[in-house]
Amino acid sequence: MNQNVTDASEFSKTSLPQLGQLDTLLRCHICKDFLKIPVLTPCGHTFCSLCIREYLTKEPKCPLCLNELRESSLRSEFLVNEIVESYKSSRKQLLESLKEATLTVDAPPIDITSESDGDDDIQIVATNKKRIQFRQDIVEPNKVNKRVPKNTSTFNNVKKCSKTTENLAQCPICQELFPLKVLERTHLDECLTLQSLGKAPKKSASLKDASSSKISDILSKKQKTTSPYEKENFHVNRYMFSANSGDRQRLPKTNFTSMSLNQIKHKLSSLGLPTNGSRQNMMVRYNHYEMLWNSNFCDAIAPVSESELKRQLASWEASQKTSNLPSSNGNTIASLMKRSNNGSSYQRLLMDFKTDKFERKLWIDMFGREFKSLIKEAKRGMLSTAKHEEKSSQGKAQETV
Amino acid sequence: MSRIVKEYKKIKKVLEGHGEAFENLIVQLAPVNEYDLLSWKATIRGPSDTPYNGFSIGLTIKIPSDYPISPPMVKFEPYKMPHCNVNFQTGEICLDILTRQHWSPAWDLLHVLKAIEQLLQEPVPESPLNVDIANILKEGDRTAYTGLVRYYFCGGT
Repeated sequence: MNQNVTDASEFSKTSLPQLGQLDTLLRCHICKDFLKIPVLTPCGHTFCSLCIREYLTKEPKCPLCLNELRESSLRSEFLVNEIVESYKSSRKQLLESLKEATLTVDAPPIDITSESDGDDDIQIVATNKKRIQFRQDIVEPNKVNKRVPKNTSTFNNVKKCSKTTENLAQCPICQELFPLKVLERTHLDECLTLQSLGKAPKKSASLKDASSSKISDILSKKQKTTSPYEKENFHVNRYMFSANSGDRQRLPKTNFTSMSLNQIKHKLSSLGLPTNGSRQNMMVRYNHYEMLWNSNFCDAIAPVSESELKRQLASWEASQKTSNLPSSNGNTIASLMKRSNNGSSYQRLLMDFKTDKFERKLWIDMFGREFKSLIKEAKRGMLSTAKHEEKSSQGKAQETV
Repeated sequence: MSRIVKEYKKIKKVLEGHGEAFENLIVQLAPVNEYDLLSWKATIRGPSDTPYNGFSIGLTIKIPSDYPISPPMVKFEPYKMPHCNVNFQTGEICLDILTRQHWSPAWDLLHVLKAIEQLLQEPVPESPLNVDIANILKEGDRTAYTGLVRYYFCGGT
């Protein structure tokens, strides 16, 4: 029913069904979606920052192992964030090419090359190699494994790989370029284990420079057919230069029971939050904003602005209002219409006016009558002025006669 | 909200035959209607080697608006369920993972049904909602237990 809902079983029909595991592992166990701003618990589990923070306000324990867990002990995981993001950006292509590989394993190569005219000979070679590589992956995964971690036999390998697959990515640990699939499936794991064992191949700066110049050579040759270097390595670079800027303080938990209504209002307005609604509403609003703030400024690799947070808060509040209705069936137009009779709901609609969440239909429903009467009035006005002009022109005509 | 949509999709796949683990348990698990994923209906098979063997048992599931932070609310409905941990009148189930303290958002509806199956296999007479059946179980009278369950399922009042 929803096109955007993806799940791991999509890989079961491809030539690499075991990729489904990776797909599952990169998802949050609370929202079952890909990890968004992942955070690590002391017990070694990873969740979306917002998901786990929301749950921890209810129960102070890890959803997976049920061990005690405090919000303050969550740590952000920039690497996982970038892995998920880069995986997400290539997932669709990956799925399609894997499906294609299963479909065309026995078909002649012309089928594919006919689609992509241009430098024909290269393309044929490339697609052939690609296909063979897929087969190798299935039959002998060890072969790939063996070849990849040898950091010394570098550039021939890299060159070969760069021809065979179009998605190259740089390993954030050993700085080598690898096809994205190899990097994600095997190489990152190996590199990480090597590093944790203390055997990380440390490279001298000069070597690094040499490698990067070589890489840029290769890439400049490739550039005609693939996307630019920066785009390919966006996630790697973002990870490399990631740092918690720390220019925003963590918002503290607030104990509202001892505060007067005015103090609460003052607190909210000092953060630039709306102060309407009951005491309870304001407390809930502050708590949710605190969660959004801390998740954004403490955990996110690329924090959004405060005004974006406020927009998120507003749309969250709007969704809360509708889902807490006694009629219970969430976002149906009918239940919203009921609210509209209360008179205040156009303000809520107006809040989303500039975003994609704006409910156009409802808006039209609500003000359709007014719109129609305005249109009528305008038309009538136009008619009468037209008549007026006609009359006056007739009058003038008569005068002239 | 989008979480329950994902679960719905997964459940559909599982019931279509990818999940052998649930084949013996679930007859039906679907929302009452497609536009409202907050109320569900399920039918499960009574597990073998229990008095419920051979009967299909109906359940209703209500999804709270903050699911999966809060647990789903599951009841035996519309038919009365004779079980020592089920309230005979209301169908309410005494199961720890369905309470807020013990629920984990990492679980989903399939886990819940699995847990209910286990409850049918291993009733806990120590914390009863149906005292009569609990007493029978404490006495160890399997025959009476089986007879009583059969009586209710085969058209008892």
